[in-house]
Amino acid sequence: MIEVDKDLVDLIGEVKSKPNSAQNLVEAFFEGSVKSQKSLNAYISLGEPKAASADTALAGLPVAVKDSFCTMELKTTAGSKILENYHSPFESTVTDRLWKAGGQLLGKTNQDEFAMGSTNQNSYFGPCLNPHNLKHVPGGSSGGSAAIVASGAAPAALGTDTGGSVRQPGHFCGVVGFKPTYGRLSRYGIISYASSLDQAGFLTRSVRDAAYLMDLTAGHCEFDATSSKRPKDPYYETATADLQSSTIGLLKFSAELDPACQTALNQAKSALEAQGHKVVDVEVEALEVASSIYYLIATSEASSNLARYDGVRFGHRTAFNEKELENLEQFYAKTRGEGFGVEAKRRILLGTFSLSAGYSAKYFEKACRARRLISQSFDKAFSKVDAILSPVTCTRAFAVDNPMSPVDIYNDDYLTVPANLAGLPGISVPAYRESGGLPAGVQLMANRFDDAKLLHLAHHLQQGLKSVIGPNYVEAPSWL
Amino acid sequence: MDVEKVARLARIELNAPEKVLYQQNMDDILRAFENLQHLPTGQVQPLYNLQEDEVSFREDVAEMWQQQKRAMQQAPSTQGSLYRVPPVVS
Repeated sequence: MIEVDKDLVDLIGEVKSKPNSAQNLVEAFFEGSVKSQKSLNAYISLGEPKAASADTALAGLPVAVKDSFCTMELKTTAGSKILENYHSPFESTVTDRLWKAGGQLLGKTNQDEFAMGSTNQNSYFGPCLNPHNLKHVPGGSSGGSAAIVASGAAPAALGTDTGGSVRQPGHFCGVVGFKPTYGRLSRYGIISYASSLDQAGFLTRSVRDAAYLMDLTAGHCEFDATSSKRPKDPYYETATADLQSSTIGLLKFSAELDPACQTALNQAKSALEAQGHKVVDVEVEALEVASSIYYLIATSEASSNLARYDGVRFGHRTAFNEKELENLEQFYAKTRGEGFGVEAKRRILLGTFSLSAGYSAKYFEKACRARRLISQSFDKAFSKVDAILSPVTCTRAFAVDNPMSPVDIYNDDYLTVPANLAGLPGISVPAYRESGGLPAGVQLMANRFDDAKLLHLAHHLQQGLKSVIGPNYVEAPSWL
Repeated sequence: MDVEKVARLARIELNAPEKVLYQQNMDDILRAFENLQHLPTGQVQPLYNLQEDEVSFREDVAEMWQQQKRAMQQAPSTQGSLYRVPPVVS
């Protein structure tokens, strides 16, 4: 029996006090995940339960893992046809650390292809749906991870966040989505989308769960040259320590918010003020063009990263006739034309153009100059405030049949991408849900490597909001 | 932007409907991104990498890898320890 109102830390505590209950709980998560699949399609592949060792940090409990993480168990597809049958010969550092802490793999979760998308509709394996309302998307690109945690059938999940891909689905599904500082979690074994922006993150039922998982996974990794050597902080201990009052900046932005997102923001601001924090206005330069900056840099890096899918060493290969094949380039082009989906092709084309001779100064380099402006603007802001509060996005979960154009979808990310451009830690915390409606969260961001401080503020914010928003999980889901 | 030329550079074969779709998409996206050109960036240096002072390299040491067989099994076609590709010289 899975109790959806208990977080991972609660469950670990229970299993440790009653070690005989561990196996039943583990099997309940696997059974719930299997049953949820028909409704949610949150997984690309499902694991098998193993013996749970209750005396470990994760007490043998299972964690769902986005299919962008290379794992030795189960295949790793990144949601793409081009990797449909890829079985990684190595394990990502973050998952390796989870398994060494006693966790086990629940399944590999659905996602937008190569983490390119905000809806999960760009998956080769079909769309994942939002457990709060199956006519809506769970967000993306880590939509499967957010949906399965919100469904109650996973105690926690891993995601990746290149432009909001953990925080936005957390907001859409009513769970916590935490993206640490760039360089704090190893990127080794994460299928690359945009290397200067990609970061692993967590989808959890509570902020303290994210802090607990940070303690198990953060720290330098010699296989990732961008992994920081700074000592890690005691994340869980700091997050759950007695509240320290701070100065919070309320981000100035111009877009109109969905009324529920506005209510979420108002409730979070009130909760922070009630906790004794000082809330002041804060501005970040170039915020209104953040999506343009982000999409030029991310697609440029993607066009380079995805050049490796050539049908030679791994992945899909076109069925060719040697007599009809004109040259090797045609072989690559056919392989890639067949293997990549609509959005991946769109982004590779955009990035290739942005880096091409005659245009790179106007697009890629201009975006990188603007990126420094945003980064410097955050430095200035964080000399005055400890954290910044903002909406996660301007809307709640889109309808499955939403008529949004690529430009509309890209622009909806403009409040999440700045944290990636500046390498900041960011977290989405559930802050409002109408009875029977779709959830809405808020975002908190902090300065680089202030992850522990951010988790502290977010943990207490979540506690402060509990009495206002009530239970955020899906109540009595049919799959449990 | 000439989408056929860019697709050649990207080594992606596009069919006729895709060429129409992506030409329209690229025109729309680049028009929307024009807002960036109005942002004064003056002498600001580009920021390519957030770890400008922190990138950590390790010694380049050859090691035996136990997973070579599994890695080779991911290839569409192999011969012994070699990858098979279409003939590149006629």
